Amino acid sequence: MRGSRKTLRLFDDVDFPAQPKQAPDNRVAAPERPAERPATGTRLLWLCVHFPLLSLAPFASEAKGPLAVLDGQGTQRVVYACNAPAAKQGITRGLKLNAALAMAPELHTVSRDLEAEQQLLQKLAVWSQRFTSVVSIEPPGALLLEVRGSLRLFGGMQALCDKVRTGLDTLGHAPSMAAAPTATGALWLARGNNAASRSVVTCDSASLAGRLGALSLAVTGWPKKTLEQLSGMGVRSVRDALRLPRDGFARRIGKGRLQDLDRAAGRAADPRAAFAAPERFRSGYELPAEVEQIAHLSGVLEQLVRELSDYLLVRQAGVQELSLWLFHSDSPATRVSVGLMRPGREWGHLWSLLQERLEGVFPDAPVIAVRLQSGRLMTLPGRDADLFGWAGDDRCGEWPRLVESLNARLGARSVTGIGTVPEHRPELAWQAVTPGQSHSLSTSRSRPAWMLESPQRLTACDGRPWFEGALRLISGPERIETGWWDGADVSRDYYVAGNAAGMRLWIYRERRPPRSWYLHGMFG
Amino acid sequence: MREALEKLLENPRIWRGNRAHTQQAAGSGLQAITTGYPSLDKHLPGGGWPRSSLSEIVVERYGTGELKLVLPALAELTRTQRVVWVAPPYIPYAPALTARGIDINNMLVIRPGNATEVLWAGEQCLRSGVCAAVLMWVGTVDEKRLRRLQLAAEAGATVGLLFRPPVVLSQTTPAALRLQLSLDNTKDAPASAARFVHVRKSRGGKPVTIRADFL
Repeated sequence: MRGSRKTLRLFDDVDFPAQPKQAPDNRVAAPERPAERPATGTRLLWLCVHFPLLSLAPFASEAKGPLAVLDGQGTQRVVYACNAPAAKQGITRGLKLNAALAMAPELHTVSRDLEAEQQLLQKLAVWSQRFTSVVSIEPPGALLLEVRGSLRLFGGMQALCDKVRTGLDTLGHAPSMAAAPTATGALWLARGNNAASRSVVTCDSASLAGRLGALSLAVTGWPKKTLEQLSGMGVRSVRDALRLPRDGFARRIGKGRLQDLDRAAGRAADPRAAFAAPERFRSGYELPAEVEQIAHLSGVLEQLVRELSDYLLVRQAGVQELSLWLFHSDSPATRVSVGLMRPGREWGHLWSLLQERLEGVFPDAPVIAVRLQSGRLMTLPGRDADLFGWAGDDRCGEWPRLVESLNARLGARSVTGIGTVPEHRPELAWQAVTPGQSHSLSTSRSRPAWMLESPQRLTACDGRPWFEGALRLISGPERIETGWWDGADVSRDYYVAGNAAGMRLWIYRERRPPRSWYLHGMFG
Repeated sequence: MREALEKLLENPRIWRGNRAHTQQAAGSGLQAITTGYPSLDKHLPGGGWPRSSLSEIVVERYGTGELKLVLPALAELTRTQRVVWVAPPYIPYAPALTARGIDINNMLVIRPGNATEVLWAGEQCLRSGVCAAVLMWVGTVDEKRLRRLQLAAEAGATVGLLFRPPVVLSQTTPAALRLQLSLDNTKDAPASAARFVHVRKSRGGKPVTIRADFL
């Protein structure tokens, strides 16, 4: 029952009138004010990060002068957001297009790109998952982070907010932030907070209603018609709305709006779906101009790899394959793949691998867009650091890393291990294998350490083989025969031979006519 | 906490188990890996192939004993560590290497397409510090690039073995050691021809010629 008392006191703050007695003829089923706080068990703390200028971000590179993003259609087009130079000339949100152009004739106008905004918001949601596992997207332009459980880890509310803001600053966003025990409350407070002030509005459940009450109703994001209707009734702030009788409000304005108020004030449950990042990373950019040289792409690629690395960090995962697509205007896209020996996620490592790989890539056409795509994600748990600072297995990771960077630049076919094969024909008794996956069989036979790619035919002089001088047979013959089952049939007599230059050679004589001599290896 | 610990660990009286190796290296100057041939070891700086440095092996022709010279050391190293072969002139034959005690699982063979890539790959391997030895077959290379390799070997504390043709004998080298293999072929009978190892350059040692009956 403590909860219910608290709830009641909450509304004493704003001097909300007691629920009017229901008239017997009142057939409108006004929703009852929930007597108790929703029994969610734990207290929540929502941090809302609101991006008032989000709709400008997709066009950031387009114009340096005054820029305005328009919303609406036809003659109803109004300014939705504008940048600082435009604001200086008096452009404000909600201004009609004609009025805006009259005030600033050189104003550059673009229509809202909802899809780009949505993607951007998703990227930011992925990014902010580093602070909490519960991130909810609130279109347009806000993220809700449930941070109660993260406060201790990040060292308190102030420190956490500083981290969020610093991180977003480097990404080029200036959010307004607010924290409140209810999600809707935090959202409204953030909308009411001035982004330029850089301060974070925080409140606990005791001060929530008071804080909300001071806000203008514009923060609710209700339709313009509703707001005009309320303002006609003299209701301009949230406090005014909270003071209205519930059943009348529900009848005139709508049950949905009443529920919004209930949720903001913590009278109704406000469940939020947590954002789940996509299973694979996939991100790309369209380039402002055609790019002919790969080197000029490094800025945007670096950014993409950074996004990938952030994404992987949050997912506690690594990737083993990456594909980079370079799109051209009228030829098929170029695909550049990078493979890793074991899952990795570290930015510096991925970026250096991609750079190595790109050194040998020369697309035949100018690049107009790029896309980076990850392969399947592999779980990659965090590693415990050593108390004394020298992690014992530090070096373990560097061998695969070396092999990867060699692979990336030289191609996997140039970087191999060697292994033995149980086979009697010498040229088939070895094979190139993936590094570290060799089978080794010991042989008691005398075999040369150097083998020729293919046997070299020797000239013969008086029936004796000749290689930089007459060869003298030291031991042999060792007969190696057959292989009829795979078409590589052999019939040879092998000898160890020496010449005057001091070389010990492994030579053979074909047992079939014309019985010529071949050099097959050197004892080195 | 971390700073305090580091300060404490600077005290020379504290022995750190897993740092023993590096401390020893710092103390004794040149560390070396035995060649497996005692008669050769005693003429080499540090008593073997110097760690953290290049060693040049000059041979007239590949296949005249240069592998036999290095295989015992490689057999020892591959038991626990990794060895990379960069641009070998022929195929390193797995059955033969296994028979000589080399763990081929710890061997990597790199065959880059051109000379620039050979030097790049060699430098990466030398510098990485995860290869115990890097064998490279390089022809004529200017001294600046050799110096890069030498610095990489120092950075990675790696044994760098360079196999080179006799032309390079007229050039100076940043390597700590330069050996030349030769054959006394004044006699006609090749079986009795004596092999020699000439120590042409040895940092901290003297040039000598050793009759190498072990090859």
